[in-house]
Amino acid sequence: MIPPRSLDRRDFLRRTLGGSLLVPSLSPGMAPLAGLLGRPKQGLHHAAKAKRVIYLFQSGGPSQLETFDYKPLLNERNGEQLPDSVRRGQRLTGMSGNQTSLPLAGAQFEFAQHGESGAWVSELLPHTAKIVDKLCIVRSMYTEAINHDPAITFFLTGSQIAGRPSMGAWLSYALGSMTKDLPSFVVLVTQGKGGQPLYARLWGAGFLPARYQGVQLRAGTDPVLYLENVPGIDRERRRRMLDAQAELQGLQPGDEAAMAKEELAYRMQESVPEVADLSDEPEETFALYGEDARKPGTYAANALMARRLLERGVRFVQLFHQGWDQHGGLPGGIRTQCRETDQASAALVQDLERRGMLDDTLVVWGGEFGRTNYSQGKLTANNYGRDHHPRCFSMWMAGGGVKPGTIYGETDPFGYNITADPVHVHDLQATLLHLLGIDHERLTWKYQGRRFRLTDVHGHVMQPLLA
Amino acid sequence: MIVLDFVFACAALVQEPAQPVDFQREVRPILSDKCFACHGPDAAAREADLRLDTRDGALADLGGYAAIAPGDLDESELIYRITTEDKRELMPPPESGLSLTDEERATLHAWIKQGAEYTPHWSFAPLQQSRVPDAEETWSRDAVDAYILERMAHAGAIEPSDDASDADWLRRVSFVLTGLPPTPELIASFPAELTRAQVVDQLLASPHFGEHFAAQWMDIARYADTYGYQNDRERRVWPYRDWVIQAYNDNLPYDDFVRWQLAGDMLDEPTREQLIATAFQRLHRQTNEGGSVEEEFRVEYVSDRVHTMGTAFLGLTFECARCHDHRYDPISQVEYYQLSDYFDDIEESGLYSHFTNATPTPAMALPNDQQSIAMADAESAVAAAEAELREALAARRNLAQAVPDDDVEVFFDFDTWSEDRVSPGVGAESATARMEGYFEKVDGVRGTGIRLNGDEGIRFSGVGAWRRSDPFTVSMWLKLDESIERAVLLHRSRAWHDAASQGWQLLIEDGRLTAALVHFWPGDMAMVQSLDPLPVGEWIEVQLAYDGSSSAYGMVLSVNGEPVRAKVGEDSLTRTITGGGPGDPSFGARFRDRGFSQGVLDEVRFVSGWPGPSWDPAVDVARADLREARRKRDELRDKIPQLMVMRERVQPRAARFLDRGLYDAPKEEVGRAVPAVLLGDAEQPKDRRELADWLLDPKHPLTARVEVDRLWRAVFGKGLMRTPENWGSQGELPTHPELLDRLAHDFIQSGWDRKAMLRRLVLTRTFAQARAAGDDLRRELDPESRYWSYYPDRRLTAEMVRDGALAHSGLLVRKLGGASVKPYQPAGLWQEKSGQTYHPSKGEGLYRRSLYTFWKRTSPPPSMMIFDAAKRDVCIVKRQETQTPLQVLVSWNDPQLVEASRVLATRMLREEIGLEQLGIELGFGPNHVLPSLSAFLEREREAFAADPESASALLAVGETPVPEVIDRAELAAMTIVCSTILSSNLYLMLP
Repeated sequence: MIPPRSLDRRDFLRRTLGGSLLVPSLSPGMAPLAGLLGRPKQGLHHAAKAKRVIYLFQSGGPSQLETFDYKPLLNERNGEQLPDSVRRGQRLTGMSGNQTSLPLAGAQFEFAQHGESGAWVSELLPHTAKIVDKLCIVRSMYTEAINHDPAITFFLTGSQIAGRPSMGAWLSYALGSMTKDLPSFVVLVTQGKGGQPLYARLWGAGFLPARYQGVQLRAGTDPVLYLENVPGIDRERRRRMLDAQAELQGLQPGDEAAMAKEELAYRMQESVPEVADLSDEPEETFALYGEDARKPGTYAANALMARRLLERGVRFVQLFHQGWDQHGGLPGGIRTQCRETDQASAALVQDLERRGMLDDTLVVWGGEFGRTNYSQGKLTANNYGRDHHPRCFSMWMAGGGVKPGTIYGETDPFGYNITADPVHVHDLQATLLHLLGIDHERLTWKYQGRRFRLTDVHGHVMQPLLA
Repeated sequence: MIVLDFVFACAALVQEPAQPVDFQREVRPILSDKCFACHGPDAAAREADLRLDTRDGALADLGGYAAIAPGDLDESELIYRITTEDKRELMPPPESGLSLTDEERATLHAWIKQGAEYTPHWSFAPLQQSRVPDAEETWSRDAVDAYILERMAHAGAIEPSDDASDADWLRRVSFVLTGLPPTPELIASFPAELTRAQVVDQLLASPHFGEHFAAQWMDIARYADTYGYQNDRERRVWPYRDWVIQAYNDNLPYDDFVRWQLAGDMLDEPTREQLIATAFQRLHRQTNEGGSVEEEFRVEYVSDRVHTMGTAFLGLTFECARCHDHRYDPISQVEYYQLSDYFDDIEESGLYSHFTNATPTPAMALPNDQQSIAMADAESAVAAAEAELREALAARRNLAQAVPDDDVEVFFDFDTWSEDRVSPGVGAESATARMEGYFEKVDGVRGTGIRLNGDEGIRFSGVGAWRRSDPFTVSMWLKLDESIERAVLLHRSRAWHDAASQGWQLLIEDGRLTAALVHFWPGDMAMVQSLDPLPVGEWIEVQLAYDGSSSAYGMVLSVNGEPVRAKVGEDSLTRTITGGGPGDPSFGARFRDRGFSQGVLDEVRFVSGWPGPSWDPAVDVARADLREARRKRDELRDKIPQLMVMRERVQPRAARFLDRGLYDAPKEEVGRAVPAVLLGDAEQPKDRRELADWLLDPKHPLTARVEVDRLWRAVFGKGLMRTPENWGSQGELPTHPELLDRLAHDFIQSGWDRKAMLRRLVLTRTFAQARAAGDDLRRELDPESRYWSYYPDRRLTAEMVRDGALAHSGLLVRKLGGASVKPYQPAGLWQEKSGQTYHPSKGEGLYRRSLYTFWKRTSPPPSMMIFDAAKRDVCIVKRQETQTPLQVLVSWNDPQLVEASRVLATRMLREEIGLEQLGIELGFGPNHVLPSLSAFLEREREAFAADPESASALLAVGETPVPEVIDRAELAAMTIVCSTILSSNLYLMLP
């Protein structure tokens, strides 16, 4: 039973919320400060090196052999069969597993050493090559899954099985939000790419409360679903509606929280389009990121948007760029992929640095697995393909507490097995959490009676990668 | 700090609790949460050879001392370990991140002092019978109320809330039982004409009851209209959903509801409904991702069935025991695989078919009445034609001048070449054999033979595009270099796993000749294999002759002209073998399969027509008739839709222990058995049917409790059991264990009658209570309503938010069942994830209940997800209830809700319903706040009158046309008011 009553909404909020219009626990993806819910220690477990993360996820599995892992031996022995002594009976996918021939394929691109670190980078990544001394390149990543869906789910949730929280959701839960107007965990997908599908679970909250899930900002007029008012309702009318709602909501339990989230929604209607509007960016921004950045929904535009989101207090931005799955036609395919992403990825690192944000922002670049050193399908003079390869691949990180100018890990001359300093996906996750001041073994959520972690029961912080 | 803690601990220890410590309620939760991970049921993870989950383990001699010495604190190592200052000895170890509170230490202390008695985990123990408490007659209406009231009285300061108003009760009970607000008719007749019991009977009899409870079951059944992995294609499984609706509406007893879903296929002469119900076990996610290892995913599906059974019916987390013994509950890893053995005996593939739209096997046909009649006719036509042929053969005269039938024979000798890579057929001029890639011309059996590399084959054209009703013969000469484990010879199919092998094929497997006609491998195919290996190192002629019968018994394998001994691998072909393209056969290679490189090929022959000459025109006629009759029957059958179901395979698979849960690490066979901790003295079920019987044994400790609690949760929003996803050691205790057991007992006694149980619960006084006001003291004393001293806070579910608005507006299409529909959804959501396009329905598909909304797993309906719907990837028994601003945005701007507001406003203006009357129709009762919006309404009317364009723009939202006669400004203003109401907590919260 609702007693008939009338109450000025703003008065009500002032009274009940002590003058603040903000109820922290109600922001999308916003956690109450860690510790308030009885989680181990007060918030962070140790001092954080990074406060924010941009994860540039290259979906489909970029070839390490055409980018960062230079293997001249493959060119020398181009066309020869993959020796059994190298493969050691390890499993292949059903795509090339029944090929009678597994011909080694050398990269058809030039490599050169760059920077003081002397990192080998291929000609496909000229912009990245210029900033290698700011990067920590890991060439010895490995994973457990060999197909896209399980592998990408594993990378971003720590388990191949669907239903676990994503990395960004864990961070939102652990660290809370630094903004009152925007979600704490934002997802940006390059538009119109196609290729290996993406799934909402990759930025889902799993069994964590749904408010920790990633919010996808989409290119166009309605960057958050249902954000834009329907035609016929402008900002003033929405305000009046909101005030009228206060007539209906008053003393009932839950009304207070409802009104707070309504106010936040109202603010988001202003703050989100403001982030997406690049018209206040100077010309030189586009010189840095490339002209692509003017076109909403491109990788470059999303990279720029990521920086703008971070400036406004967003904690975790996850970009997805599909199309790295070159089973065939690799030379042409990877050239396109690199052209779409190289300049903007490098620009982002430089941009963060000159704004003084790189020190406490972690940038991560990489995909869900690597690619085989042999050709899937026919190897010809100017064409070949590569199948999925979970046993070694390359990634890079920059900023936020990682050691710049690092080249970590080695693979054998065939680029098939890791020979030194392997880094498992759970290790990377543990390291990432560590940089954010979180002990990956102590960030847990009890569900179905078990305490779950991002790193399951595995993972080691990779000290050599840390500054 | 530690010293201080210790002092506190000691201080706490000194105070002996006046009451005996309750092991179940107080001690076990501590041991389980803080100790069992290293000292529990999992032998592999057990530290120091100490287990604390059994009394024997806790008291065991550890070499002159014991963890627990009953009654003796000084002799109990456990006490020392939990209180010591020495970090190296402290338990739980600091690095575990776990620690004990002072209260917990005191509890363990008192418990040991009192003798350290163990009792079995409550939920594994039989139902306990208790006496219904004597209660104050004036308040209680049911034994339920007596239990509730007694507990409150016991606690002291808490009293039940006042009853909710009639209007609030009506709105609440209507949403609870049908998921919809009360109709205006019901509002008008209650309480003047109808008693509460009559209202409840009406609601339970409404077909919307079944829809609403089916919607809740969809989370448990992980129902979805797509397969779920990767590119996530559509599958047709809604007949299962419709069966669930019907089962609820018919009040199918819960035991049958469970039995049919688990083992409907194994009942005696199962009905169509009993078979459809088994689709429950096939609704898990399935993949078609290229290159997936078939066995890896098949094992995954079996596991999903085990986990779903555990979560849905037992409330246990079997998934924990997949890779190691359960850390908390007495379920071993061996028992996990023993249980999974009941679920892995169907002919299924780990991949569904990428290149065809075949329904994954096992599948059942779902003909409509017309199709059933037509099929019966077609079958008898086939039977008649078969009889005719038998007669013709019996009467056959050997006519030397036999008329040749319409056989077509094409022969490839590879001795002539029209181009470099093309060898023409002999006998049919247009037929060719084209070498696809690498090939070598070598010595053949006569003239030239062909050697291939196994990756690139020979593509024939102009022959071999056969249906399963077409009799045909193929033969070829081969010379094998060695015994071959697997090689694709001649086939017409698009791919192996990626097309579920649909087509016809001749392979070498384990050195033996195998032939198959396949719709979906395995489970829908006819397959024969020679018993003896093919000879190696000599030229042999191999042949398959097939009579068009769709049966493995109509396939004859020959080597060098002599039929060979063969066995039937499978004889289950029911549907087309022509899908997936291309229509032409190939030799020696197949997509993602192993080709033929270890030998030479020569002289391939294709014959369309009956094997063997007819000798007699009468036989020719009979053969042609039979072929035609079969073709007609097959065409009919191919059009009948199918549904994935359960069907036991002929040869059971022996389940093996999988080391660390890995599909490629099988160890010893484990046999089948149910976990010993549940009904341990019962006989082991032999199969799924008996497994269902075991589950539904009235003595089973969990089945009835779990379901009764589910019904309670549907009624109250929260359960007696607050962790319905875990009834094991790590779960909570129920708020009222005796009441739970009483209800479970009564439920079984009633014949598992769910409508009766629901009726009983909604007619209790406990249910009739009002929500507590925000400043009500009960909110402090009983913050989560664990005493049930007020009706818990409850937001409308995702379905109710939308369906309620549609119902209020009159837009709701009240039609039961059918294919899923696609209401409004922001454009591009499917496109950006998987390149598919969402085409919204037209007309009534926009206004069906949310239960019927098409569920795409990788991109579920966004407005429902925002309102906390389950994703339906895996079985979920409890949804989250969150508050986010994204929900506000849905309420404000989802065209579905804006349109509903406008149509509701239209009705108000047409029927001259004012705000006063509107509130009553919406179920808010006679004394509601809507009239306070009149000034707002007036203000908006003026604003729209001054800005007609805005009014038109607003009214254009949604497909329903705007009536011409209504004043636009007025309608727009009223739309704004209705939208405001439907966005408010007044609408969104259950009263």
